[in-house]
Amino acid sequence: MTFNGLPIKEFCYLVTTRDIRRFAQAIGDTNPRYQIADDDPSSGAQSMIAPPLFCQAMAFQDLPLENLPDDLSPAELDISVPGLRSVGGASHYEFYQYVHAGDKIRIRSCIESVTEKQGRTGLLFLVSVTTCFTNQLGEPVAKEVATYVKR
Amino acid sequence: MLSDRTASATTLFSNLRVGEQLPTLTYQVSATQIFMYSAITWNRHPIHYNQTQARREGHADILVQRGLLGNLLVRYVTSSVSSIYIQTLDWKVVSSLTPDQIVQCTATVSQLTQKDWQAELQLSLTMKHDNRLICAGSVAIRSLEERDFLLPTAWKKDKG
Repeated sequence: MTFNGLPIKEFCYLVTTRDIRRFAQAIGDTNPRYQIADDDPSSGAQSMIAPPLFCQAMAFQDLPLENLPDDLSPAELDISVPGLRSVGGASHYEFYQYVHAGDKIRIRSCIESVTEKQGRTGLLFLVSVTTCFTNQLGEPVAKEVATYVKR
Repeated sequence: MLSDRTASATTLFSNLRVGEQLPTLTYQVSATQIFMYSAITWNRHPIHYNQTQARREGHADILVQRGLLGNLLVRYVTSSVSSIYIQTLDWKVVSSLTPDQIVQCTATVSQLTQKDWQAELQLSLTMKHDNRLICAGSVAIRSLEERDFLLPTAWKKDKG
C-alpha cells in the first residue's frame, strides 16, 4: 500500500511548565530540572527543559471520543485495513534540541507505509507514522518514526 | 510506583569503552503510573486502563505503553551515565509488560564514533522481565554541553 506523504495531522502546541512537570511525574522522573514550580520568569521557568520523550505528550490531537477509531486507538491508525485492534510496536527518535517551557511546537505527522505481514495468529499490518516536531523558529526539535501493529 | 529499585552507580561518559556493560537497574511500573501516562499523552486506548477490554483482546492484564517503556530506557541511560545528551533512541516492543512486573534494564557500549570534535557512543539496550525480553533497542549519546540548555533564540545567536 502506498501513501502520498500528505500530513494526516498538523497542529501547534504551546509548552508550559505544568505540562513538563506532569509529564515528568507520569514517567516517574524525579530530576529537579523538570520540577520548577511556576511560570514566573524569575524562577527560571523560562529555561525549564523537558525530558527527551516529552514530544509524546504532544503527539496525539485533542480529538473528541467520537472522532477516534472504534477501539479508541490513536486517530492516525484509522485507516482502511482489515485490522480491528492496534498496539504500539516500535519507535525511532531523533533529538535535535531540548524542548523548553514557552516553546510553540508544530507537530506534523504522515503515514509512511502500511506493510502486510503474516503473524503467528494471522494477518497483521504494520503502520509506520513519521512525526516531525519544530519550534517557533522553524527549527527541528525531534522526529519520531513509530510503527503500530494492527490485526 | 515506577522506581529505580537499585541505587544507580553513575558512570562518566568519557570513561566508557566499547564492549563495556553498564550496571543493571530494575524498575517496576504500577497501574497508577500507566494511567498517568495515558492521561498526559491523551491516549484513550482501553488496553492501558480497562482490564476487561485488555483481556478481551487477548492480553493478561492492562499493558504498559510503548512510550512509557521508552521513557524507562531513557531513565535507565540518563541515571547510568552522567551529563549526556541523547541524540537518537530506538526501541521495539517484543512482548507485553503488565503492572507491577519488575524489569531489568541492561546496556552494552557497542560503538564509538568520532564526529568532528565530538565523540558519540552507541549503546545496545535490553529490558527483561524474568528473562523474557520485553523490548530491545539502541541509543546514541554524546556529552552534554552548555549550549544544549540555551533557549532557541539564544541558540540561534550562538550559532550565528
